[in-house]
Amino acid sequence: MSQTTGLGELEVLLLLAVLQLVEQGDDAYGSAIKREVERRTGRATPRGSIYVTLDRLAAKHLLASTEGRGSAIRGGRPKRLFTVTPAGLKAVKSSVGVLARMQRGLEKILGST
Amino acid sequence: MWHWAERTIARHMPPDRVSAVVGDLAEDYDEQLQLRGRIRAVVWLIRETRSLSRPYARARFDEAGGRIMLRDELTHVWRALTVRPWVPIACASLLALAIGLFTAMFSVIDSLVLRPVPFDGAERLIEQTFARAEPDVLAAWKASGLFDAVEAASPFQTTFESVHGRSVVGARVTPGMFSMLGVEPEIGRTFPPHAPHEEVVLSENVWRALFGGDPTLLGRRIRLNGETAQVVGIMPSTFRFPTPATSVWRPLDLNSSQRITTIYGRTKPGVSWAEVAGRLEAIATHHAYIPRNYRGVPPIGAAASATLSEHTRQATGVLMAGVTLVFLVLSANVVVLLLSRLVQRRLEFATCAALGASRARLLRQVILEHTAIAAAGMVASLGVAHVLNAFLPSHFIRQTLNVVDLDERALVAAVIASFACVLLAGLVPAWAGTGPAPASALRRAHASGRTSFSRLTTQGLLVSQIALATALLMASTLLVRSFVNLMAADRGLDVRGVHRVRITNADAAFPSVTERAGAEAILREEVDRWPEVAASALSREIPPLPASGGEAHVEDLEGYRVSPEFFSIYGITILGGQLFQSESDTDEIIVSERLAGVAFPAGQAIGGVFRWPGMRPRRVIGIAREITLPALDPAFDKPEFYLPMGATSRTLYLNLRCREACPPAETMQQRIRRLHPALSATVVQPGELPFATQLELPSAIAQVSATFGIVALLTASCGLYSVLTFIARRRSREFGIRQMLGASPRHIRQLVLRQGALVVACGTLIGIIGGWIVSRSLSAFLYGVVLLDPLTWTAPLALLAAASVVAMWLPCRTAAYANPVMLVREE
Repeated sequence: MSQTTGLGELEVLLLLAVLQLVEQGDDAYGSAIKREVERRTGRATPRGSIYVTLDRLAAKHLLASTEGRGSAIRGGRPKRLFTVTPAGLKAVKSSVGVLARMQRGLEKILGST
Repeated sequence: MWHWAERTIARHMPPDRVSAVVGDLAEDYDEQLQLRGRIRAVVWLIRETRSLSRPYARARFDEAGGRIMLRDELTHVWRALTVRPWVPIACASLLALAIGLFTAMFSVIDSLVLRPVPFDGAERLIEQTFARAEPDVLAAWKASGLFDAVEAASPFQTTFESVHGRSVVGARVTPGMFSMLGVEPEIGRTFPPHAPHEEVVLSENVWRALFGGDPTLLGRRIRLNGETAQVVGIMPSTFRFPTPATSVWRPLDLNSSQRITTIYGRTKPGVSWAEVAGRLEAIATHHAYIPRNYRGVPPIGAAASATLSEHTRQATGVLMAGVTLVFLVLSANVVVLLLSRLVQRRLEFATCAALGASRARLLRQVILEHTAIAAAGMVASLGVAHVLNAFLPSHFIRQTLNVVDLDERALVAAVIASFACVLLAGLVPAWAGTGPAPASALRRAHASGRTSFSRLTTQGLLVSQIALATALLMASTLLVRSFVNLMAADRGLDVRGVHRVRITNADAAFPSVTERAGAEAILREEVDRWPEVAASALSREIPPLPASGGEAHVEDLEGYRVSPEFFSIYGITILGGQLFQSESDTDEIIVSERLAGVAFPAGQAIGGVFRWPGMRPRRVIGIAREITLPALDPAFDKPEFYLPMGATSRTLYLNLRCREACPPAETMQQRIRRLHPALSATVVQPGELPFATQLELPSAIAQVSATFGIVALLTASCGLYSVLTFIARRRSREFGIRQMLGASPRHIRQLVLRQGALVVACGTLIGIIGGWIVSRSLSAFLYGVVLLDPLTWTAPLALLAAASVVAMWLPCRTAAYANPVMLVREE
């Protein structure tokens, strides 16, 4: 996957999680993204890996971030809200497309996903 | 906690991200707090904070070229260690010896004293020994409601007639003993309830040593003590019960056994010791047979240390103190060597600092070097500990039911202590030698003298090493002298050249007393016909110490039932009176000179009536020379008496003096079994004698302490040599100038010698005081040695002086005969 699109598995997962959260009308920030990934994949992901990968995606201009409002529970600290950039969308489409192409013809073995 | 988390995150993350990330963490922490409570939430916070900071820290490390730096430092460490490898190798070897010795010795003490016996509910096991089998007592223990299991065991000597008459220690046990102890056989099974008398279970050791691990042995019949027995199981070699030497088990039928028997019970949880002791005393008083001359043994816990003799218990303490001293000597030597090495490298450090190396960088390098040395020492110590464990004196191994294996706690403790020593030895001088001003550090490095800190530390450590070595040498000389005295003491009899054959199972072959008396007469005639035998005698016990519980057993005395030839065979002089005229049990007695003095203080023992608790009155017909039993415990040496043979005992000893060599054991066995096939004959090995076991402890202490003393002496000498060599090298420029100004080699030699002699004198003086204190605590282990024994004081000092002269000679010579021009030019 990385050879075709330049994205690792966690990077794809995070981009998809941001898209999901934005699509649902929720804030896509660090904790929410972590929860979304864990809910959908069913596996715990270290917090440090999530934040480092988000930073890396932002550095590649695949994610954009803006400062959101803080809340009392956060001690007034702002949220860092992420959105997927057009380049990010293109990259994630490419990754998912590669997966779909690779899967084609293997339905008997893999079943319908 | 929040403050810590925020600070940790801020230290590793880019500053513009911190606020948002901490906010996220706060949000999730609140959720954790509500779901899992405060403590778990705090643990979660610590874990998450570390998870957050770790990848950022790694990224920063990589960005700063940390990996390249670490590789460079490791390369530098490797070069520093290999350019002059002898000091690192010596240090790692000394550390390996220190850790290995400490671990091996502590492992012994752990097995002997600290660890409970390796059985189910070991802390609740209680035992009580009785003079014979006590089925009523066993039933009363079971009915008392105090125990959840009660079993019995009775040790016996086993002879494998099918395997060259090899003799091992065995035990008869009630069938439920194995399940009570929670042990399973390696192969086969243990005894079922009501197991037939002829079944036998062997230890894996016996199975391998005597039967070559033959897999077909199970179910086969072998001959033991004149009987046929069927092997039904093999127990693992780690199982040893009821004594550490036991390796054969047979079923015990309490209703038919008359042997000394120990009853074992595992109390129910929650039952107090006081309650058990009170009830068991009442049971013993009510049900047990207590002979008049038998004091009885109170119940004791069966924990690891419960069965240890007082001397062995004290010996373990002494040996632990000894090994700690050796550990200190070795560690001090490592510190001295490392300090000298670092001081020698002061110029190198100063140059690095002048070229821009930070103090932290230099310290890191020293820590890495010393960690590598300590790690090498630790790895080697595992091998040393295993080797030492294999060569432990057998006395210690035979004292415990536990397997003596390496103790991880001791290993970890010794490793931590060694690491601390090694790191301290590096950090302190490295800190002092890598100051913030490179120019002044370079100037100081060029100066020929050492810093007062390193000089005082090195010499102080050397003095303490010599002091500890002196104290250890003095203590070990005392213990070795004591052992030599024990071995060389006049025992009042001559056992050299006397061969002893134990004949058992006579009661099965000849059930009545009359038959046995007839058989013994025939045996004597048979032995007299053996061409190899010059003289023979029969006895029921064998000197110099009869096994307790023999036919002539009387409290506080040693008794022997003997034939008249017994005295000449053993060279026991009859000082007055006469020998027995008949072998039948008349009312005659021969007493030893000490017993005669006790029983007849006014003299006139011969012809008098000898009265003693537990014996019927007897007429004294002779006085024999005293048999002395040199032992650490003075109570061990009791006065003796001799009775006519009689024909009442199951066991008979044949004492032989042969012309050139006695017949082989198998030949004797065959000849004796010709009289009756049920008779069993075993040649008694010298090590089997109870007296030989009394020498084991002094022998073990002497061996171990001598090893400690020699190790300490060699280590201290090596330390002295390395320090003096270093001093001679550091002052070489000064010596060169002195020689150019007219100083003779003798004068230079004296300068170095004076420095070494001062250290040796101070160390020896402190060591003598320490040695005196140590020696006083050893009085329980000394036989025939007084604390002010001249040899004990002069021998270690002479040894130390000789070692010091050897250690000082080469450095003095190097300093005195070097070319002064070369020395000055080198600097």
